[in-house]
Amino acid sequence: MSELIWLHPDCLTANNPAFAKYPQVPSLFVFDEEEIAEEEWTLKRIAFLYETLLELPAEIDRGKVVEKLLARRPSKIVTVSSVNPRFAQYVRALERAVKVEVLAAEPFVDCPANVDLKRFSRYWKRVEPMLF
Amino acid sequence: MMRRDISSREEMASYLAAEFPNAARRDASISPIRGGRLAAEAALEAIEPSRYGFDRNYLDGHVTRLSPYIRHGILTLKQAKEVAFTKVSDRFHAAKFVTELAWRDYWQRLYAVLGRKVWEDREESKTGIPPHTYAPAMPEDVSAARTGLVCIDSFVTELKSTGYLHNHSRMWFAAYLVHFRRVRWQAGAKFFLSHLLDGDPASNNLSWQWVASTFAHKPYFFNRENLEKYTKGKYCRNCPVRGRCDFEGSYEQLEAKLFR
Ligand SMILES: Cc1cc2nc3c(=O)[nH]c(=O)nc-3n(C[C@H](O)[C@H](O)[C@H](O)COP(=O)(O)OP(=O)(O)OC[C@H]3O[C@@H](n4cnc5c(N)ncnc54)[C@H](O)[C@@H]3O)c2cc1C
Repeated sequence: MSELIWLHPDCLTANNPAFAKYPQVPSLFVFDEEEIAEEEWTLKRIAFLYETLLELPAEIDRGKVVEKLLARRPSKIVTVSSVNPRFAQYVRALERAVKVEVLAAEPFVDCPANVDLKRFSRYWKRVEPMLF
Repeated sequence: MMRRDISSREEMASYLAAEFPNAARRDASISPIRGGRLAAEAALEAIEPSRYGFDRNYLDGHVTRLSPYIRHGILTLKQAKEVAFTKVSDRFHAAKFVTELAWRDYWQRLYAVLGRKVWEDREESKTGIPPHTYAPAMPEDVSAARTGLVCIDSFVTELKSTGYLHNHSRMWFAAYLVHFRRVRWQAGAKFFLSHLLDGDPASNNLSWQWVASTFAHKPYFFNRENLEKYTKGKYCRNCPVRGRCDFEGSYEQLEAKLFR
């Protein structure tokens, strides 16, 4: 039993904070067959991700994400946050079986989460001065 | 476990087609746009933010094609902004580019709030057309690139073969489907998500809603003059229906034809 880094399609940078914090820990990417079916991905996107993964020190698998991760019997799963609703759903399912550490992705701008999102113009008024 | 010992793109294409037969049945082509950090860094190194500010609306303008890399976190928005600042003498010259990066951040923040609701109308449509008159499915002639409109058919062919479209082409295509063909925006959004390398339910669906006017004060549409200008005539020049296509006319004339 050891830790496992879970890579998902929103965090494929080589500067992944999970690699930085756990340099010796193996990582796994699972092509999510439910997401691929639901969004009707064609081979183009799969190939793009696969090519990206070949440059990373990751094992690659396909199938049901939660099952594949738990099948490795990790003591803990480390990953990077995502706003994809599937991500929260999978983290909840994993947490029933194992400890999960979610590291923050690098923010574009450090602005409060409760910024007004009614229209882009409102958001922009708030963040523009922080960006330049 | 999947293999990692692949030696060529041809081998990769046939290996992945065997591993993902359903995806391959939908479309088995592989994009010339390469995945990976090295390709991402080369694209990032090549950006020209100040020229971008002037010509990004033109199909041959200095858009960056960073979207598949940013979408998958291979590059971060912050990294793109910082590199842009190193390429200009005054940060102000990168303002347009940074604003576009902010659009992605904005859509992502909304996604965190909305989740799967990005598939539902955010607001009532402003077109005056009753919602039930929009067709639920993608018309066969559109998805098969056989509308006879050279611009639209070219967008579909490019999308299917590369997984990328210029922002303006995405806007024209979306406006064509929703307003000129009266198809529900969700059908178009699904078609895009299926083929785009940068396919993202937030940026994609909310942009479709912006065009449709379910997330904007008014619908987005265009006329032929606009398309001809920003494409520098590349499609209209060879179009058999040039001068009598659906997009002919002033904005006032088209508005009267399309909306109520
Ligand atoms: C109908 C429609 C569907 C779209 N679907 C998607 C999608 O699924 N995924 C996606 O990433 N973008 C989507 N966009 C937004 C935009 O068209 C693309 O991000 C852009 O064209 C990508 O090309 P580029 O990298 O050359 O962009 P550039 O103009 O060079 O911009 C640099 C980066 O800024 C971001 N960006 C630029 N414009 C926008 C925008 N309007 N909204 C959000 N982010 C932006 C992207 O990350 C892009 O890579 C859509 C737009 C429309 C009108």
